[in-house]
Amino acid sequence: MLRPGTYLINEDSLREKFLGFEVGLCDSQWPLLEQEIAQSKRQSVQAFSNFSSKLLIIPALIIVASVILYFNFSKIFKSQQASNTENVSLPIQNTVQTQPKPNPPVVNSIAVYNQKAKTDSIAKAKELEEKLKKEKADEEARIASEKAKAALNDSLAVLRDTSNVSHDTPKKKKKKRKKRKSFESIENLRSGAFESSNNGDDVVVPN
Amino acid sequence: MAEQEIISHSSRGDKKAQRELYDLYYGKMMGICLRYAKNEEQAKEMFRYAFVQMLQKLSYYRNDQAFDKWMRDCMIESAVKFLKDKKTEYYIATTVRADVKQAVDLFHQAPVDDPNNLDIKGYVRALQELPPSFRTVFNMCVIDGWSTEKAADTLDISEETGRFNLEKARYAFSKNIQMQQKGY
Repeated sequence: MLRPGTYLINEDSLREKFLGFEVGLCDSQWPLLEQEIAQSKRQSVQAFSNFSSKLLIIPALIIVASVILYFNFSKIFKSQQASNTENVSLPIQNTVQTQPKPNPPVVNSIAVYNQKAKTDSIAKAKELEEKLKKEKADEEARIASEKAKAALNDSLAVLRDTSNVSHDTPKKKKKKRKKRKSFESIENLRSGAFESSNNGDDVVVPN
Repeated sequence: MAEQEIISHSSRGDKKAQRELYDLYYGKMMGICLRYAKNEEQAKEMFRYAFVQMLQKLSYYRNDQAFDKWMRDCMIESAVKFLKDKKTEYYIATTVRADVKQAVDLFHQAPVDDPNNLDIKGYVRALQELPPSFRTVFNMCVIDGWSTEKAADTLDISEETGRFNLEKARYAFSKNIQMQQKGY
């Protein structure tokens, strides 16, 4: 083991000796030293330029990122504003992705045929229904017209009956009777004249 | 140019002032580097590295502190950083030396002779022969007068490890001196 004191060196005198220890000037060292100083200067300048370039990259990246974010947010803000004014929720353009189109369905001929038949039968049924309706309407119209005719005839008959009933005064009745008699006589004359003319007799017809 | 002017001009990148600063403090700074490095070659490399580091930190220097002391602390920190950058050398060398059984046996040997008889180069050599982790903690705590807590904090180790390394370094240093005295 180490045991202090097993060796004796006067450390104080040793220190004094070494504190005053110097060597003579050596000029041959200076050119080498000068080169090393210049090299260290270059290295420090290069290190600083590297550091500054790295430092410049960070704010540049921040600026680019902020610009991108600004544009994105402005788009979102505008779309939100539009949706608020129109009261219609519009999708955000950037965030909504175009959904893939669904694949076309496999054509099933039987299903298509069934579908076609169904539509055809429905159309035919509709046509028949319309025809029936038309016929019914025509029938109803005919019946109604007949009824109307019958009613008209009845009414005419009634009117005829009623026209025979006179509401005239006796004087007028007498006049009318006279007129009728004269008319009838004229008629009789006419008929006689006609008969006579037919017999070859000239008959003078009063104006 | 006065010292303050040299310092202020050097911090602004004035080459003339930097050269003057180099001329003024090369001796002291190189002395520190020689203690912390394993040889003269590494000390020169360490000095260049530490000087560049010091120039970069020069703008943080305040006048209320003695420049000499500030520069010393700055050089020590740079030296430790330089050694720690050479990780393989720093950690492997320490591990290899710790495994040597002979180093443990040396604790039970007789105390070394008075080392004051040795010249400064002998001390520097004895220091440079220490493993990097022992060398740094010995330099920091014994020669530069740092506390073990501060040294451990600078070296990123626990205080106990720092103390343990310091004791080991003390013994290894005395042993190196003993070996030098014996003419090895």
